[in-house]
Amino acid sequence: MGNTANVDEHLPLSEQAFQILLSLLDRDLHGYAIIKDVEERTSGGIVLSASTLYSAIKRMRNAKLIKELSKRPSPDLDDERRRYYAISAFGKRVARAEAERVSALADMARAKSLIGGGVRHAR
Amino acid sequence: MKGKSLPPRPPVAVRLFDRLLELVLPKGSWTEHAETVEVFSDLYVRTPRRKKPAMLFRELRGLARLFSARLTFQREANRHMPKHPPFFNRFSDTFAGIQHAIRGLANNPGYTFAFVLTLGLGIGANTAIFSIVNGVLLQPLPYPDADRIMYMKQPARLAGTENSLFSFPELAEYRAESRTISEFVEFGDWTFTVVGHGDPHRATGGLVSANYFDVLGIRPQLGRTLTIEDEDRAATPIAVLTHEYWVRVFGSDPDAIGTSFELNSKPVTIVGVLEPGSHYAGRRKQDFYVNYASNDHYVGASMQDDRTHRMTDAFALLAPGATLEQARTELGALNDRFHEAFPQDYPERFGFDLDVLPWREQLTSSARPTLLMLLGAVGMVLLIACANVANLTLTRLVKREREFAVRAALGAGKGQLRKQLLTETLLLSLAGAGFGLVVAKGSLDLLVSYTSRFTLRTGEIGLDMSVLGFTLLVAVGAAVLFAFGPGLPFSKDLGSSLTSAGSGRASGGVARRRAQKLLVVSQLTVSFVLLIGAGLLVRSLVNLTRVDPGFDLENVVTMDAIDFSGGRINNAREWNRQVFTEIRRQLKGYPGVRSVAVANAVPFKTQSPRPATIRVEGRQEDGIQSPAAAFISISPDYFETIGTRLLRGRDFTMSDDTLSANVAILNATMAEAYFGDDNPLGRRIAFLGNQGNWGEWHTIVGIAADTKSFGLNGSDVGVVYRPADQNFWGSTIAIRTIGDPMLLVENAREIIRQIDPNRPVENFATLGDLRSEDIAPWRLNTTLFSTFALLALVIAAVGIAGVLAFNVSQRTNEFGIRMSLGADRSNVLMMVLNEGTKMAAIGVVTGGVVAYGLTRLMTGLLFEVEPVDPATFAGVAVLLLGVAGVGSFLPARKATLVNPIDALKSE
Repeated sequence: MGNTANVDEHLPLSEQAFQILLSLLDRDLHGYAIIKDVEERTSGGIVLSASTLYSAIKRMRNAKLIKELSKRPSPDLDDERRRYYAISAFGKRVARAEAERVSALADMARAKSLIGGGVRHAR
Repeated sequence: MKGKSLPPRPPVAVRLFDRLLELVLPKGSWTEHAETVEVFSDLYVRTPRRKKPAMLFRELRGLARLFSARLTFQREANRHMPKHPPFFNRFSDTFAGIQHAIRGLANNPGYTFAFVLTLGLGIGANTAIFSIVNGVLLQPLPYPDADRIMYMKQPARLAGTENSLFSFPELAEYRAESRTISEFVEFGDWTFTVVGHGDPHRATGGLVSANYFDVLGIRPQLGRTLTIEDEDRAATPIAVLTHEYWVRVFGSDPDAIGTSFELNSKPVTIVGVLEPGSHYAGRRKQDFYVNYASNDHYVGASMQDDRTHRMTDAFALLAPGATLEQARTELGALNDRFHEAFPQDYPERFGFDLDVLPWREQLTSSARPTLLMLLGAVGMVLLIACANVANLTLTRLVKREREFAVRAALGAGKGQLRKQLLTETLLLSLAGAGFGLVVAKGSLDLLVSYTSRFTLRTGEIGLDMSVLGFTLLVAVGAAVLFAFGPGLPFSKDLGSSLTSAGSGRASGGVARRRAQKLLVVSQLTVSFVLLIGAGLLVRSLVNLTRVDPGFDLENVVTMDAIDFSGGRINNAREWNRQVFTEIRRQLKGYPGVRSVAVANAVPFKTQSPRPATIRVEGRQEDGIQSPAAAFISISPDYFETIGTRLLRGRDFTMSDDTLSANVAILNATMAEAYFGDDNPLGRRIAFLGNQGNWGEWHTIVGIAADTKSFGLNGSDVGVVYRPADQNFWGSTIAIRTIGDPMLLVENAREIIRQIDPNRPVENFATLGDLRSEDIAPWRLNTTLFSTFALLALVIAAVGIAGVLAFNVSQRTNEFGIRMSLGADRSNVLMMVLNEGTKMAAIGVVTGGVVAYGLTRLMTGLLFEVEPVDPATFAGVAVLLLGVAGVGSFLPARKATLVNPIDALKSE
C-alpha cells in the first residue's frame, strides 16, 4: 500500500484528473461514459476532449490511480471494443486527500470571510 | 451472438482525427491510440449536428496541447545532449567506439595477434587461390566470341588416346557439311629452328588456317594477318609475329615487316605483328604464326590428302543461333558417316569417337581438378581459422565478463555491448583481411608459375576487384559471426554474473565449454580431412618416384647441340655423321666418361607419340594403324648410355649406315603389339611415309625394355628405334660418366665448340633433373596441399591447447579440492589428457567419415593409391591423436601443479 508521501506526490491533482476520479468513485466506466459523466456533473463546465481524456488516463494508470478492468460486460450488453476503468484504493486516497486539501483551502478563505458558507470550484 | 456484418467505413472526421493523432503521438509511443479514436468516434456520432463544430474545436485544441507537451518534453531531453546534428552524434559515437576498441585490443596483444594472424593466413590463402580460380576458371576468355568457340576432340578410346587430333581431309568434310558451325579453325604447332634474326634459336610457330585470327578476334598491330590466299600450298611462306616475340627478338623494330628469316632453312617473310595479348591455342606459348606453305611437312601429300594423317587441333565457332547440343548432334552424325564410308581409317579396335566441348573447358581441363582441390583445401583452412578465432573470442568474452557486467549495470543495453563487440571483431577481421591481402599478393607470382604447369591460361590472373570483394565479404562475415554468434556471458543472470566475475571465475560455463569443445572438434575434423588429402598426395608422389623409368638415372647428363647450319650444307646427314662421330670419339676418350650417345629425344621429354601405320612382312602387308607410337633416332651406345636394358638381340653399330640393310629396334610394348608371342627378331617391318608411300623394309635386330619416355605416370607407349645414320641425326647428346656428370659439362662444351663452332650447346640436365622436372607438378601439388594441411593441424593443436589451458585455469579450485581429497597428480593429469584425446578421437571419427566421402573427388590427382587408403587413414589418425596428446599435455601438466592449499584459500 502506498504511504502518505506517495499520496502527497500527486497533489495538487489536475482538475481533469480529479473529475475522472470522482466519476469512477461509485461505478466503473468506459472512456465515452467518463466524458459524459464529467460533463453532466459539471453542467457542461468541463468537457474533456478524447485526446485529453486518454493522456490523463495514461498518466493516472501509470500512477496507479486507476486501473483497466480485465473483465468486461457481456458483448450483448455493450460494445466489446470498449475498455472499462475503475478507481484504485490508492486513487481513492489521493482523491480524498485532494478534496480535503481543497476543503482546507476553502475553510481558510471562509475564516478570512473571503467567501460565504458554500464550497465552490475555483476556476 | 449477433451476426456480424463488415463495420461501416468511419466518417471523414474520425479518419482525419486518427491521422492527426498519429502525427502528434506516433502509435509506438502511445498505446491508447485505438481507444482515443474510438471515444472520438462515439463523441462525434452522438453530438448533435449544431454542436459538432464546438466539439471538433475542442478536440483539435486537445491535440494541440498534446503536441506542445511532447515538444517541451523533447526539448528538455535534448538539453542534456551535446549540441550536434544527429548525424554527427552517430559519427562521434562510432569514432569513440573505435577508439575504445583499439585501446582494448592494444591491451590484449596476444589475442589481437593470434586473431589477425590466424584469420589473415586463412583469408590470404583463400584470396590467393580464389584469384587463380577466378582468372583461370571463372573469367570469360578474352575473345569477343569466347562463349561460341568450341574445341573438337577425336578420341580413340579403346586405344587409350584422349585426342588423336584431325586430318585435313576430315576437317574439309566437316566444313563442307556442317550447318551448326560457321567456322572451323585449324591449328598445329611446330618447333622451328630460326636463323636470320639475333642468335640462331628454336621457337614455336603455330600453323594455322587464315580464319584463326578472325575467330579469336586477334588483330595485327602492324602489317596484316593471314588471308585465304595464304592457305594455298603454293603460296609464299609468310609469318605473323606475336607481340611478345617481336619485342624480345626484333627489339620492337617496325621495319621487321617485309623482311624475312629462315624457319628450318626455309625463307619466310614477316607480314605482321599482332597486338599484345594472350594466345591460348595449343599446348605451348606461340612465338609466331605461319601459313602452311612455310612447312614442308604441311604441304606434303600425306598431310594434305591422307585421312589418317591426324595432326591438327580443330576449333569450331558455333553458327549464330546454334547451340552446343545441336552442334554435337550434327557433328556426331557426320562422324558416324565417316566411320561407315571409310572403315579402314577408323578401325573398330581403336574406338574412334568425337567430342565437342567449349574451348574454355578444354583449356582449363587439366587445371580444374587441381585448382578446385586447392580451393577446397584453403576453404577448410579458413573454416579452421574461423573456428579458432571464434574460440579465442569466446575465451576473451569470458575473461571480460566483469567488464561487460559492470557496463550493463551502468546502463549499457545489450545492443550497445553487441555493437562494441562488433566494432572490435570488425577491426580485427579487417586487419586480418589486410594481412591476408599482403600474403596473397606475395604468393601470387609463385602460384601463377605453379598454375602455368597445368594451363596456358595464366594471363588474366590478378588480385582484382572481385577478389577484393571476396576478401571483404569473408572478413565482414567473420566479424558479424564472432560478434553475434556467442551468447553474452551475463545474458541469463546479471547478478550472479557480477558475483562470480568478481571471484575471477566464469559463470554459465557449461554451454560455453560445450561450444568451445564443439569448435575444437570441428577444427580437428577438418584437419583430419586435409591431412588425409595431403597423405594421399604424398603417397602418390612416393609411388611416382618409385616408378622404374627404364633408365639408369645416376651419372648421366644430357645436352642439346643444335645444328643451325642446317640446309646450307649440302648433305646434312653426312655432315652430322662426321661431327657427331668425332664428338663421340673425343668425349668417350675423356677421363671419367663411360659412354656417349646421340638421339633426337630427351628422356621424359620425348615429343608426343603420334599415330603411325606400320606393315609387317608376310603378315598384314596392307599395314596396321597404331594409335600412338614414337620414333626415336639414335646413335650406337644409346641404350648403354641411358641405362636401358636390351632384352633380346643387339644394339646398333656404326656399320648400320646408309650402305647396309635398314634395321630397327622395338621396345617391348611395340614388339608385343605387333608380334605377340612370336619372335620378332629377323622379321621385317615398313612404315607409311608422309607422302603416302611405303618406306623400305627394316629388319628387327633387337628388343629394348620399355621406358617412361613420356612421363612417369604415363602408360607404356610403343617405340621404334632407328639408327641415326639410316634416319637422321638428332641434337641431344647423352654422356654417362663415372662420377658427377655436371663436372664435365664445361669440357664437353669446349670439345664440341672446337669440332663445330656453329653448334651452340645448351640445356644441360642430368637424367635426375629431367625426372624431377617431370614430377614437379605432382611435387608442387603435394607441397601446397601439405602446407595447408600442416597449417590446419597447427591451428587445431593450438586450439586444443588453448581451450584446455583455459578450462584448467577455470577449474583450479576443483583440482585443488580433488587433490586434497586424495586424487594424486597422475589422476589429474589423465583427467585433462582424456578431455583432449576424447575431442581428438571424435575429430578422427567424424573426419574419417567426411574424408571417406570427399577423397574420391581426388581420384584423378592420385597415382597408384586408392582414395580410401587404409594405411593413410590409419597413419593420419595416429598423427592427429599424437598431436592432440601433445597439445593437451601442457595444460594437463599445469593442472597437476595446482597447490591444493592455495586453491582452497582462494575460494
